[in-house]
Amino acid sequence: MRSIMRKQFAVQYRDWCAQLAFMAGAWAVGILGHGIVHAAVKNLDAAAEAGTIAAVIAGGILLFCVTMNQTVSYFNLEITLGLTRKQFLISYYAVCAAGSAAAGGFLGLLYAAERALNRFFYPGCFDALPGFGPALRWSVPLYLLVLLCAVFLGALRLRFGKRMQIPIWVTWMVCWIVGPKILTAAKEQPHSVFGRIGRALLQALAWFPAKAWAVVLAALVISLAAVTCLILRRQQVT
Amino acid sequence: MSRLTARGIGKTYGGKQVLQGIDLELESGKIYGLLGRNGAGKTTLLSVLTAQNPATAGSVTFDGEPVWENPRALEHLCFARDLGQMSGSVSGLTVREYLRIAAAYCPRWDAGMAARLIREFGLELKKPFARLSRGMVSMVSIVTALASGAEFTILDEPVAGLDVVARERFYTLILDEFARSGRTFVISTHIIEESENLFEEVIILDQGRILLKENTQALLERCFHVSGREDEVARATAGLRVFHEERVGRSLGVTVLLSAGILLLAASFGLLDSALLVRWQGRIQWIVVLGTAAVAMLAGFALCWFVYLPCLDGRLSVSMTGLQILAAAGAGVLYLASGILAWTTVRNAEVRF
Repeated sequence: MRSIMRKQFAVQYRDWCAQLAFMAGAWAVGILGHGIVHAAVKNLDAAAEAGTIAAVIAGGILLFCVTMNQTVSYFNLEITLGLTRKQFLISYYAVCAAGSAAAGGFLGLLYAAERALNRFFYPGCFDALPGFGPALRWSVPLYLLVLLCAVFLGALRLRFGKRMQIPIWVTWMVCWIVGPKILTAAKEQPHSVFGRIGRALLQALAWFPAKAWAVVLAALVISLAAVTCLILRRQQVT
Repeated sequence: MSRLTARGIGKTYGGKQVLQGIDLELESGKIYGLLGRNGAGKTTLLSVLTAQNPATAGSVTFDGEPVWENPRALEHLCFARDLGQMSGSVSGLTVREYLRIAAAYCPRWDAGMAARLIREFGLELKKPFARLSRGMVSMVSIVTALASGAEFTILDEPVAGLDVVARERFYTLILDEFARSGRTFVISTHIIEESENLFEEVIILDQGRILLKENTQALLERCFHVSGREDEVARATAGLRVFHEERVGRSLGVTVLLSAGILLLAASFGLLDSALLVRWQGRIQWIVVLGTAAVAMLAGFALCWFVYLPCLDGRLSVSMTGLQILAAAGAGVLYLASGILAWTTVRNAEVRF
């Protein structure tokens, strides 16, 4: 299995390197932007609100890259080159998980570096955006969940072809654009349509204890992985 | 000797039967040509043979072991697909990256050969697939196939997009590698004329069925082109399967494939008689058959009289001469019987396009 992992890494390492480079680039842009805002606005509070904005942008890039994973391309390429479907699934999950963990660790480094820079250049500023620190601690399981979803969507695209493009696009938009909008509206405009949906969602979330949601989430993860396996088990190269 | 065997392979895409009851056995140490029109099922068959696609029915084995999801069997197989049709999966890669990945996946990868072929084809390693010409993409497939070192190497339309010079070079490369390593090659192509000297056996696929799998030389010996006035050609080839037809004015040219019975005839009577039968069938076939039988009897008698009897060195007896004459007559009757059999075969042969 080690040799299979090595092969899988040979295929994926270029994309992971690109992803880390994108994250570093986004982080650098965030640092520069923060500096420019700080210098231009001459208002410590306004600049401080940006907090660890560079790490947040890098985190966003990481999530984007994980969701946009290349399951379809990797599957076609590797099965064509003689890998079995079982070998593909095991090695793909393993290498993706390792890559996600590495990217999560890298994001932690960027976050720590930005905090150190902030303390040095803007001693009076807030240290970080509220909530980002705890989110970072959960980054690896979060990325794994996103990764599982992304591989599942990739498997659907392999199985159903272009017919799945629109549902996947709609799901993606709901998750990353409508979702945050609903949650923001629940706090800021509770009587708007989005605000009502958001409040209902939060109430539903609060209905069960956190442990119950954890079980539901685990069941969802297992189901996604199982359905992905079932799809790829007899999937043909397209 | 390794064998890649398919038994009862069927493949259905969305209700459409693409392959039907394919039975095929590929032996190691041969170059096979897979011929067929567009949509005949060539790529599907090759991808099923190499477990890239699951078969709807039947099984594929390599030396008795199933190929599906079997890494041990898959190690011996390499199917270099037409990368032009896989653009979505490789377009983001450069040639160097693709070959690096292929090298990681092929256990018998020959890096030296890959480097030599890259130089020879003038491939630009830094170019992404999206910017390669059709011919260049084919060349990358060829490099992958040859450098893979796989015991059974399968190429899907490898010469698509290649110019004449590159095609000739490709055929030479295949022959050189075959002579050096004895690997098995299966090549699907449309360009039959150029590759007839390359294939040891040809497999013709039509509408998802194998029409024919035969030694190329034997097949060529069974093929005849008959041309002339339309009515004469039609009469001459009546009852024969016509594979190709060309009309120029009132002239007609047809390519016919003689069946095994005719091959027996050719072996017995010589190609001249067969050609005569094809040319004049329907008019003088009995004259040809009886005439040849008479010639055979006379030849047998002459052989006895002038060669065998002198060798007896004076120990000739009348009864012995009688026996030889009887043997010659027997040979003649045998020739006559095979002639009747051949004529019957010609007469009942099926005509299809």
